[in-house]
Amino acid sequence: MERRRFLPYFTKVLIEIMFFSGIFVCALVPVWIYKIEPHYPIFSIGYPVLKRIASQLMAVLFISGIMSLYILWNIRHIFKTIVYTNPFNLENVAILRKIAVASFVIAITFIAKCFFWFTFSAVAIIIIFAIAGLFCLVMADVFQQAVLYKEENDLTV
Amino acid sequence: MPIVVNLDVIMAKRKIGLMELAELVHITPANLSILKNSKAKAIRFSTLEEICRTLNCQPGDILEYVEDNKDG
Repeated sequence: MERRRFLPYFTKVLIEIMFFSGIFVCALVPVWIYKIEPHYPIFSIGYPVLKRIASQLMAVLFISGIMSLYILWNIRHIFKTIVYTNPFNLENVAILRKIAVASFVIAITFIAKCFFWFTFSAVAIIIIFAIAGLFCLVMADVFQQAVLYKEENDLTV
Repeated sequence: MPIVVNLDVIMAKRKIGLMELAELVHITPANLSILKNSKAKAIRFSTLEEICRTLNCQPGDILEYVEDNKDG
């Protein structure tokens, strides 16, 4: 395989691994909070406090988990077009906009999380996903321009 | 589109087919067909030069400006 195709292909495989393991992790969230956490705590607030906010925390983790899977699914689609066909198409422009919306949803979800359990890592996640959302919107505009240039180039003899 | 491509007229006069001309001009038959059917958005000078050299004609023989009559 050519070197320039290997990197997108490798990244596509990595994203697929993340996607399928993400499904497993999402499904494991309630098991973790109710069954594993009491015996092997990883959260610093302690299990009694965690039990009080368990439903809100599960909602946050499920929403952000599902949005993350949605983002990975769409990124997987973009990488398929990079590896096998042509990435500069209007479908990828729409996909980038959807990824931006999903990123903003994750940021908003973690803003909500701060109201019942404030952590600095949540602030970091909010900032990261807000910037990622803005970046995806800009990339969508860039891709749209690239589609126009490609169309013009394809019809240049 | 105001620019009309009369390539098929010149090709008929010179008795040359699409595939043959595409090979001589070093572009794909698909691209030549796009040009012939006035679907092209732009033409490179290098391509125009090759076509004129091969068909022994002037750019004006291939390209014609026809004003859009929008007043019907």
